[in-house]
Amino acid sequence: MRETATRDEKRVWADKAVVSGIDVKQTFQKLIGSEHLGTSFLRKVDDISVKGGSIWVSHLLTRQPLVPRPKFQAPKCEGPGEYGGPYPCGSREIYYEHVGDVDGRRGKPTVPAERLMWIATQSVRFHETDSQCTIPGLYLESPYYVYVPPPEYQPDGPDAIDKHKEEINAYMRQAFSQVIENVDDDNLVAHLSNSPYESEFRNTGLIGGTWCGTRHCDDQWGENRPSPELARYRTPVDGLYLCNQTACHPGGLALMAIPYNLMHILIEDGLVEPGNWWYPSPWYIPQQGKISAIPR
Amino acid sequence: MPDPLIGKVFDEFPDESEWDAIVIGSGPNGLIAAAYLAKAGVKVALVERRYEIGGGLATEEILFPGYSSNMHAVYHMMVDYMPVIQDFDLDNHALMWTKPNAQTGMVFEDGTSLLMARMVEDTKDSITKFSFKDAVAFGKLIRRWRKIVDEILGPATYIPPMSPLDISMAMQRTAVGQEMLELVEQSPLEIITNNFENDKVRAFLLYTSCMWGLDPRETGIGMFVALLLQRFGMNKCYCDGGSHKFAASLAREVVGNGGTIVDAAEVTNIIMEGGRVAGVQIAEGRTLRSKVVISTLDPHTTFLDLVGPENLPADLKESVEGWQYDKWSFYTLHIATKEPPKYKCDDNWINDAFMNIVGIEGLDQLLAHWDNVIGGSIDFNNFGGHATCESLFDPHLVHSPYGGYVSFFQMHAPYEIEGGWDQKGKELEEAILTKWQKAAPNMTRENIIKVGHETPVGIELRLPNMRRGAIKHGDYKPIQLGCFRPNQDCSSSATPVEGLYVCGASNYPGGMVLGGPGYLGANKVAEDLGVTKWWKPTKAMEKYIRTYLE
Repeated sequence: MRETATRDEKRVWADKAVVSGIDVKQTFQKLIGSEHLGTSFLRKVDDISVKGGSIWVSHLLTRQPLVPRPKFQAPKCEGPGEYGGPYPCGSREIYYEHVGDVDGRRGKPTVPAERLMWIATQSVRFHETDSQCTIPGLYLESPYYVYVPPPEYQPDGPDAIDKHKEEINAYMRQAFSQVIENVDDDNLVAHLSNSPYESEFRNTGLIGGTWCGTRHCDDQWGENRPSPELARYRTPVDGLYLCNQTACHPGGLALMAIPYNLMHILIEDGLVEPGNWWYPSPWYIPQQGKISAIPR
Repeated sequence: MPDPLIGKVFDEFPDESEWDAIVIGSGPNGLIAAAYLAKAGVKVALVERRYEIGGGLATEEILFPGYSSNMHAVYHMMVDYMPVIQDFDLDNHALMWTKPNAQTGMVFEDGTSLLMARMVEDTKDSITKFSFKDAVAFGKLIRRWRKIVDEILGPATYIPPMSPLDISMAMQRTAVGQEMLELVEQSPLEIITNNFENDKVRAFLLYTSCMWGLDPRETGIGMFVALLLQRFGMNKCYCDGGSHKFAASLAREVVGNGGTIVDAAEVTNIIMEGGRVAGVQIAEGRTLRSKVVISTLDPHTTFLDLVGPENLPADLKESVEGWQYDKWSFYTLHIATKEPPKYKCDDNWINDAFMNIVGIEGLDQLLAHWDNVIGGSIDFNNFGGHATCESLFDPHLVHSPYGGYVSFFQMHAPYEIEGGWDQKGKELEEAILTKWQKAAPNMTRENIIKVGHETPVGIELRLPNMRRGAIKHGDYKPIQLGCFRPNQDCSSSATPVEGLYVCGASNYPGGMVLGGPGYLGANKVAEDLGVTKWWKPTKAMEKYIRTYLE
């Protein structure tokens, strides 16, 4: 089939199964559609939480390498100095305050800049051959991560904090400057930031703008991911299977486990017979009444 | 005799009939008892006073044609444990439950809010706005309480009651059991104030724990805090199509298994012959004869009105006469509106919540409100209640071409009130709408399509065995709970009156559509009749029996 074969209004028929690698919410809400699903099930899908872990990512293009203040300089450090974070970490209260602001109030940040928590992975940590910036004479320092609420839960609408992007960037630079001494206008060429809302636009499967897609918590982990009735990759729609970090155990972080786990289910349901190359997980327990994924 | 004007309602129904068992009252417990027994091959008649089965499982067009409201039960908190649902496989062919994540909200005058969600972390997020310490405490406690509910309170709801001494000895076997005993010893108020520091958080958790009629200051009932917060606060379900669907599905099981439902048939007395029951007489004159009569009505109606005090042992008569009904009833404002209530607060999830508490700002105010109600009054400047927009979860409730939404606002209310409910009911309607509009500004007169209310007296008129508007058929206090519900002679369903069984909300484990009394009643009657039980305890019940009772 040509690569462009399915452009425009084409239909591709599946004899056995459709495996959705799309996030769980859009799979049911947009691709299947509410007319095919019960209100109770739709409510469960609506309720799948995408809270916890959305990040505002900053990339700083500078004229001089960023230098940590002496207090934060790592010992025996050569070059401009390394730092990582999280900062500040002087007390547990700082963490509580930040988490309360993000998960509790969910709006524009209210924590004072000097108490805003952040982490960074400096470009200086990369190997010299792994160039982060190809503009001669300039330095790219990134990424800087700050924990912010997902767009879905912001009281004033999903784009609420994006409307104040420059203001928030400045606020974050003020936070970074508690540790770095030269995050100033003289040194800064550009501050490019990526909000959770923008992350969603760029990659529509990153619902909540987060790397984990749906919240990693007791109620959505393991046998509850994303909800008990969907936790074994099967769905109430015959022939539809889930294969996305938002929908399946063990979740995000590019663990590469989901398609492998799904394979057990497809074998159990008699949809595939992989042959000799296949080996099942040593922790796999066959489901009663199904074909075992353990080769005979 | 048949009514001279309309004749016999059911011509095919004989004036006198014989049954293996007669169940009085087709509320959830009557339906459950009849369904189990019918499927066990017992020839059972379920007799109902109203024209419709269901009792508190009522979904009716009380406001205007096309707008259905759930008149009583709407929050189903024990769906995950009820044996009847799995024994009759109701979830697969009859019922669909909605369990929203946004469960219980509370909106404050300053625009802040609290939300208890099905997911613990989401609840902690909300509490953390007021106190991080309380959020952490809630997370720790609710995980431990979930074990208490899963291992003990949930399954024990469907196992016959034991004496307090036996319970104490059984619970000593595990750490979870010991923790539950420690809870029991405390009052709800102590549990909440000892574990949480923020006043709003305290008010929120206490309201949710005690709203169905627990005395916040009473010791000996602390386990209800774990049960109510975990099951009601965080895990209640909505029955798709309305609560009456649940009743209808049970009724189909009764009839489908050979039982008979006789509706529009008020029982006027339980026939006694030779010192034992012999059947029932219904108002139109027919007699249904049986050596087994199972009543799901309140103790006064069953024992004093239908059996008659002259047929009761002195102890039983005294016990029934001392029975106390719920410490408060409810006043409910039902309303159809063009738009659903939109609460103006700091959390959008509040508008998705199954239930929202409005009008309570702190612990002292809440306690004062309840004290007023218990004392027989309502302070119009200091009251609160809880509201639900039912059609947000169930579009089936609105069939009108005008569209719209149905909601209700419910508050605690005394049965007797100065000035009488005819007058106070209308005044309270205005006061509630004013209060509701403060929290949800779109609840204006322009938004309202139709409004109506039900007072505690109205509850009793509709369902007379909810005496004094008592939705649980009797107060929840230590001497009316467990093996004392309704009394030690009758809590196992059998009574000192031979052939008479009781299994309504006034029996262990109580009201609120737990389905426990009906299930236990069916078990007891099946055992006494020597009928083979076609059902087995659920896995959770088996585990509980193995761990604590064997």
